[in-house]
Amino acid sequence: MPVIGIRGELTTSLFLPDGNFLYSETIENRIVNNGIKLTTKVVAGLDPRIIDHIQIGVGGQNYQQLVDAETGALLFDTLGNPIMGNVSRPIGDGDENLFTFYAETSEITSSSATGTFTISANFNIPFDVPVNEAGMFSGSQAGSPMMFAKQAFSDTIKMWENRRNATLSTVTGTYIVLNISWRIFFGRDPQHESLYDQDLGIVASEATDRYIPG
Amino acid sequence: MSENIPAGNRRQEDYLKNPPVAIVPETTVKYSEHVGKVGPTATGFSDSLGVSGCLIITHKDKDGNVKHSETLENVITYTGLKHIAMVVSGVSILPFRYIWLGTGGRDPLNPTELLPPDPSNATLVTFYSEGIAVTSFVEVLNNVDRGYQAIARYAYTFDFTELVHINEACIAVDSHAVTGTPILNRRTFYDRVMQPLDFLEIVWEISFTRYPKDKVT
Repeated sequence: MPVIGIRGELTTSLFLPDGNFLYSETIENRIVNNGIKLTTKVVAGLDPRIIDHIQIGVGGQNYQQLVDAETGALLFDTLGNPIMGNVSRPIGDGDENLFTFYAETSEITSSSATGTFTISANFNIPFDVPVNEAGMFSGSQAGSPMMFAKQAFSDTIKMWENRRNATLSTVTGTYIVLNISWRIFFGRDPQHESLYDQDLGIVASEATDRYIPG
Repeated sequence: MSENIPAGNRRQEDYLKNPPVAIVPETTVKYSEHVGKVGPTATGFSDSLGVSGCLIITHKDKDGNVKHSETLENVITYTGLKHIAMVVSGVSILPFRYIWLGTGGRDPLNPTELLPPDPSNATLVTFYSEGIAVTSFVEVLNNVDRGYQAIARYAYTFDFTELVHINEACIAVDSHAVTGTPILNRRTFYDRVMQPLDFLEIVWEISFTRYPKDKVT
């Protein structure tokens, strides 16, 4: 059975106001149930909304005791004290909003190539605000928009401090620029073709027709 | 294993012995592996959705008696994928609205065989008729394997005034008269021999759902 996949990833990049690059990370996103619903309705002409806003928030991480990635056991230092740290919060399929909204913009650049669409936006973030989550939405927060996808990431204070300590000695200004570039891919997916075939109990066909646009 | 095993089963055996493991490049991180981690993450994605289509064809005579009914899968086309991206991002404001029927589903070099639909198909081979579908939306909140599932349902009933052999269909953005209209999918099938006054009911369900093994636990 031909299998089509929709998936997304976002790149968060941090810049100084003068344009100097500080840090960047890329991570897959979570397309939530409302995103599936909106896509289906838009394709069938049953909903006129489009993805035209990016929201950012400050609730994407919890400060809590860390766990061993392999065993799941709580971590302690040699003195028996809990080892604490910021941990990304899991995204639920049914999430409809960011954990803690901070700002939004519709000043995004949007493009659609062969089966890929990308939206990108810049936010000016004060040094002391830990932005650590983002979402794609179908309108302004005031209008109860539908969230398409969401993700939590390393907070901007951490990104900024790591970079400043490493290479920068003096910086002027009161804010840094967070660029979020979000890409949604529509394509044939051999990875999931095999998963489907396993579930159906039939042999995976050669997955050579991969179509990764853009 | 024995050489007497049918080809299909032999492939199944090979598959079980050597399951495909090199699926995700080493530099990628699955979403579920990222949760709970601190700091930068690598490029990659594992959260994804599946799109599939199911075509239900019902052939009725002039009195409404069902002559034939069948349910078929379809092939989602590249132009369909591209247009989905365009409407979701607002680059296009035109949804998929039309159902097209055609008579070019057979292989002209071997008329007893169907031409299999291909993702690169951009139109029907031989267009015959079209209709603006009635669309509706259905959601399944607790699909056993996949959680949430959203379905767009297209329906249209064609009537006929002449004898014609219908054997291909697709969903399209616009009328066939509009040059370059993207199609979402395509399916060929064995001829439905439509007599004058017969009806052909088309119900096409396009389903968006999660892959069963991608749910974060």
